[in-house]
Amino acid sequence: MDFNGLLASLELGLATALMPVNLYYCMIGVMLGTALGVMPGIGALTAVSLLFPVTFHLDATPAIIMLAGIYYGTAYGGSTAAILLNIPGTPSSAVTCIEGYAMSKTGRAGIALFMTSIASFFGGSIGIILTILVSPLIVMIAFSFGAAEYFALMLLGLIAATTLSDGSVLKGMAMVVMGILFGTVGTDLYTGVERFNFGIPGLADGISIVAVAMGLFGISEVIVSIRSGSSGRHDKEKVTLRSMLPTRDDTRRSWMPMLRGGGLGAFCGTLPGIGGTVASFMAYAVEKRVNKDPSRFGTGAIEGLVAPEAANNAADQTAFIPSLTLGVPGSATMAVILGVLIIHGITPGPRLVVEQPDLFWGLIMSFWVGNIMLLILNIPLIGIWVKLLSMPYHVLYPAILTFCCVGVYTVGLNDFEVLIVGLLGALAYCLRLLDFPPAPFILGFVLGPMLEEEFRRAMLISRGDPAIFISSPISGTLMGITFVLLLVGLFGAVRRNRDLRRMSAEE
Amino acid sequence: MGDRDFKDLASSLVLILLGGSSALYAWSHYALGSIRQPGPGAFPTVLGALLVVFGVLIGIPALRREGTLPQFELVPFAAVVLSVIAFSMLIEPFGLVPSIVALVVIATVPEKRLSWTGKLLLAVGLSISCAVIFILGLGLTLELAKWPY
Repeated sequence: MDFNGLLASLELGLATALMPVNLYYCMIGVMLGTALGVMPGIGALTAVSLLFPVTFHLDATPAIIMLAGIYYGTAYGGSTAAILLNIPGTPSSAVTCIEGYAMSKTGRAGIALFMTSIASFFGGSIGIILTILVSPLIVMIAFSFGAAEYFALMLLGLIAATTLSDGSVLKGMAMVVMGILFGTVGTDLYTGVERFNFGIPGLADGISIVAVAMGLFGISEVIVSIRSGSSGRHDKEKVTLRSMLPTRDDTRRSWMPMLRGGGLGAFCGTLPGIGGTVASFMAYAVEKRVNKDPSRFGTGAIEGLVAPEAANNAADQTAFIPSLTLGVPGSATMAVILGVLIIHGITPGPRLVVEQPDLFWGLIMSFWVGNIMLLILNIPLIGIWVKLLSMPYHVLYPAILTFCCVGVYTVGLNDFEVLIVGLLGALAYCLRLLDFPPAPFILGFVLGPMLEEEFRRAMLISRGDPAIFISSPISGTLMGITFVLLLVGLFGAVRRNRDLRRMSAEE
Repeated sequence: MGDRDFKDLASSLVLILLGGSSALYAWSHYALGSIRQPGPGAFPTVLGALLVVFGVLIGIPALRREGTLPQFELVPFAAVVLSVIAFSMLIEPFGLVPSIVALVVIATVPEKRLSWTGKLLLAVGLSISCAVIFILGLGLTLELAKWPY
């Protein structure tokens, strides 16, 4: 790879990221992200869905920079809630609770918060470096991809996301298929036939990703949380700047775990189905194993705090690699961000990197700018985040609903979309009660139309011969991996059934 | 508690009904095309059929074991869904503020900790924030309130 070219790209990216307008929206994004991440029950996905309408009326570059800022900002906010309240503000900070809250109880909350910020920045940086180095290579390979390769890649992404997640594999797959089915609503690209519109003019363009994301993650979440979601009470211990300074022992212990966690997370983030949450759990397990004195874990071991935080943030950054260079998102949040890019008229994929280098490299460099902002902002603003933590849910949820409705309405000034949000929210709540995981649905919804297009194109090219999917080495390998994952997943489903039956027989 | 896993049986039923009806609808309304050139109906038909298959696979083992019933929270469910639907009906004819007031009032029905003054204050506060963010901040043309008659 040509080194000067990379340097020129980075320079262009930095110049774009440092433009005042982009700096401004980057800052708003990370602040809003942190604020929402602090609030219990709001993760990256909900935050991105809720705030998307605000970015809709901006230009594409500041819009995506702001959305990305919201996305990785929630991770910072989530860990604050985890440390101070033992409530994971986001699922990916669940591990942070273990050591972070233990440190908080022994009066070391300040140090935990400070080291978490450092570890997040450190991990984020490892992720950014990997993104910078790997993306151009993937772009080069991706240009040789045809319809069959893209189809195989998307199929792999969908299967991996369902078989590697927890819970029932069958229900995960059913949700993917349901998502694809909902994605077929609207005008068929090839023939102009309007599918599943039942004569309703509002459905001619299909269901919008915003409505789906808000219904699935905004509305249904609110219904679930009204009864269970009580906001946390936290003892009003003052977190002063002085109490944040780590001891020399803390810093010495943290270097290697941050490096290991960051590396692990950066790798995990690129894989579909394994995001920050899984990476943080893995990093914790690794630290516990390599540590000379594992008995300290659970009582406030700083290694067990910084490694998962670094892993989680590194994974958040590298998750952008497949999404931007190939146009294939690995997680539900990435699917929403991708959907938003498409609404802005930008098609992610190798062409994006070549034709709009300012957007691509500007976004990547903005990750760094945003991470530095988070580092600087987080520490003096902790007092405000603590106040947000004690916001009662009965004030919070009407605000979430209002923001959903007004937000969706302003995207297209279309009241029909708001109705769709309500109906999808109702459906999502029922599915949730039946233990269907919502994330695969949105992945299927975004990938579905592309999947269908590539499939039909591949069939046209090969004159109806399905061997096209296994004849080329790349798509053949991808299909092979998909097949193995499918077998593993189905085997897991069979075993799960057996276990459930045994359990019910023993009762 | 029942003597069958009713949660999974219900899941199975949902998948079979949804999948079956979409497959049949797509199959009878849209051209299937050929394998060489799949038509607009091909993909939805296959997807619907897949859902039926998943439904059967989830349903059969559920017949042979016990399970727990999920707790359906009717009041929060109805309040939240109806509040969103009310907003969608009111926003075009009446404008932003009346829609937000209706939304907040309906959505907070299950909430006993909030008094009427609290609800109204919340609605006013949210109206002001939305007006600041969307009208002043983003420069959108939203009417605060109007009377259609």
